[in-house]
Amino acid sequence: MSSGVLAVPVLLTATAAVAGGMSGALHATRRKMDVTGVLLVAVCTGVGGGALRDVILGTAVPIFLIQNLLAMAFVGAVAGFFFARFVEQLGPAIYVVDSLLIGVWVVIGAEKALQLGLSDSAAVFLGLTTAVGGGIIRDVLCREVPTALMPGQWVAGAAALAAVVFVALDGVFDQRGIAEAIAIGLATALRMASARYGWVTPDAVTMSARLRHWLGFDRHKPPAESDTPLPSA
Amino acid sequence: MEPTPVVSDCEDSPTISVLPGTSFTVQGYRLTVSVGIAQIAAGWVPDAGIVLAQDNVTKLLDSNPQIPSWAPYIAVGFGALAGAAFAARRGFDIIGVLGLAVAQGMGGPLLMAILLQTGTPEVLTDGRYFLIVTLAGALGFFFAGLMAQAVASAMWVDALSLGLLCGIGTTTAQSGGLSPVPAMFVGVMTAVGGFILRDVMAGRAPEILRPGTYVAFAALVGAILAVTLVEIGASYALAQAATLVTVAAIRILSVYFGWETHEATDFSERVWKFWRRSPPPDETGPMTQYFDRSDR
Repeated sequence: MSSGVLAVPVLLTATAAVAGGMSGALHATRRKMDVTGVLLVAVCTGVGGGALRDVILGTAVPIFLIQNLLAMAFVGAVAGFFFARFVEQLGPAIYVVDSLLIGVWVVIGAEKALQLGLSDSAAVFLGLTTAVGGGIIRDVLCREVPTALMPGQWVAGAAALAAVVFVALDGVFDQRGIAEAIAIGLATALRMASARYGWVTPDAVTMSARLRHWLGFDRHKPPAESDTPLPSA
Repeated sequence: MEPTPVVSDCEDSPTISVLPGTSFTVQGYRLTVSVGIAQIAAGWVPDAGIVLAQDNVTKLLDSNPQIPSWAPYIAVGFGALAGAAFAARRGFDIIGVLGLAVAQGMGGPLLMAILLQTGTPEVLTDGRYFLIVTLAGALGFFFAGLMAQAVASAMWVDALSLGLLCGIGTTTAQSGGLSPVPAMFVGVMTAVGGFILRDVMAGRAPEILRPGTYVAFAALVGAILAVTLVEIGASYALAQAATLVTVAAIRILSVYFGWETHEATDFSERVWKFWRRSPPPDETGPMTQYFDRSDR
């Protein structure tokens, strides 16, 4: 492992917290939450991923308590609450920022794990946690199935691929800077391409049914019912 | 795998991070890191905090000769398989299946490490756990139907995992210096944390909190047993083994005989009757003004 450490600029984390706060506030506003609900959901979306990572690592005080990211997320939340229509107009900008940041979060989380000497798989997990943890907390608070886990755009999928690629490149070629750049580029490109061309993440493939079919175990079953509707009684 | 000290490149360069299992000598003290990652600064003198990490805190099971050391891997792997099959049959995508596999398989040990603040969880420092969970996730993704059947028919593995995690959680909490009742809480959370995390991430009320066969109740009985055994002087290893057997037995018997937990029973009317020797408050009585009358 090379010793390059991604020194995360405060401006970057602050921007991310504001953007996360805004998108969380919009999400909560659309669900007709009251002011407390909007603020809570927004702040949790803004700082949730990094907080989750730091709590799981358990080695130091979570970064959002040190860098005052709570205040930044709060600013985003207030903006999203009072200027919801204006922030909706910012949608495309938030989308671009968000696409760029996915890879950055993955890299930050994975590097923190590698720095502590954790295994490669743990690094992938923590990178993914940092990137999509905020969204998952937001959806759990809104009592919905997390969008990151359901078939849809390549957001969590892009993050996962970027995490695997980053850890693999870092382990094999020992060039952390290049690995960072490739991972961030990959995540951004995949996210934007999936939005543009409508790619959807795959859901579970029941190979057991297919195997049964290939091996001929369902040969003696009656043929499937035809699609023609039954005559109405 | 022989763990080696890793010189971390944080702000303070004289700090080193060492993995579990590493032994080293500091100023004449021979120390072994048992849980999590220790950070040792230059010129550091062993104090109470590190002595705790030195020999009191049990690693997930490595001090227990009765229970084989591969047992936690089986427990985590089986939970992951159940989580993956659960997700796959509810239309989650690949990240969803892997995520719920991680949540159910590693949720308990993760929660335990977070609650006890023993440093980075062992399921993260030991890379084999992730290998197993990923494998289980892939199996659940591609063979969802088969895996759901396998999980349902191998209920005894589920019961044994529950007992194992309950024993580990309770004894680890006690060795970390917690008093009996909080240790019981940590033990139950370690045992059922995976189920809770899975259901919360799938956006539904946790199944184990609703009436059904004994799961959390079995874990609670096991945690009480483990705490009692340790309090009367038994070793952690014995407490873990006894908890494993007891919890698994209760769980299997409850499924076999159809024992189920009940929802809340409201005794207030009966108490009122007994106290006043008079009709219950929905008929008459001075207190009715404070009760909800929306149904009348």
